[in-house]
Amino acid sequence: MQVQTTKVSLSKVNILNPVSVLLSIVLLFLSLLGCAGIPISYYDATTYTHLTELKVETTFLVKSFDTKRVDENEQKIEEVTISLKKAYEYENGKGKPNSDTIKQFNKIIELFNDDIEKYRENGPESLGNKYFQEAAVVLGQAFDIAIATENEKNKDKR
Amino acid sequence: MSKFTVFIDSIVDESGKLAKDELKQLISSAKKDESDFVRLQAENIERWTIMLSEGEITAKGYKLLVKKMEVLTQLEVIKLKVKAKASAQRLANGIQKLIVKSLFALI
Repeated sequence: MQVQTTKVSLSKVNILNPVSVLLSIVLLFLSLLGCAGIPISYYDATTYTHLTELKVETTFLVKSFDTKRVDENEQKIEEVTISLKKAYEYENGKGKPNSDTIKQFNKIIELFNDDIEKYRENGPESLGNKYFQEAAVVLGQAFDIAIATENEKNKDKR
Repeated sequence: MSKFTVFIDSIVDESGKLAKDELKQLISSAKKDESDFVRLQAENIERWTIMLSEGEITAKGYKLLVKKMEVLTQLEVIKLKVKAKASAQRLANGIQKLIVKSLFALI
């Protein structure tokens, strides 16, 4: 099998011309960004407000599971669940560029639903009289991460 | 000695499954970690272990809380991903505005 090699003079094609180099880098970078699925959604003040408000509502409610009976909390659970669903639908409506925030919302809802399930199934007796106080701390930390994530996003200056 | 260390040392483990020194070292170094997230998780573990030893949470509650840390880690990973994407987005927008639109018009 024959292998043919071709020598090309760099000076002839002039690929080291600064303009060519710059153009190549820019085009390569832009195409790489396209492949990586960027852009991502921009910072959204409404998302920030939803997250901070829901953090207070959900953690306050979960903390009360240590001392309140399930039937005393059912109405509040329903109200907070609806608020969470509304906020989720708002995020979902932004589409694919917002997929990271949608994933975070899903995980937060998962944590909240798990707390409700354990509250209905077990109550403080089998988990400890301060279990839900700590579950509320974890839920609050989950919201803090989502809030920090929103703050990492760029402001849309267009 | 901290309450956490005392409790870990007091656990009877005839099978030798629990690497007590390794666990104490892990929490101790995580509490000094640069990452706020890692420090916070080490503090969670330490606090829950003390609460377990004092009967404020049961073994079942303790296990459920530790399992929740996995979700927090997944959330943190998403945050780091968004941070990197936002940084790349700033660079791409800068290139578009300053080089493609401005510089390319001049050269």
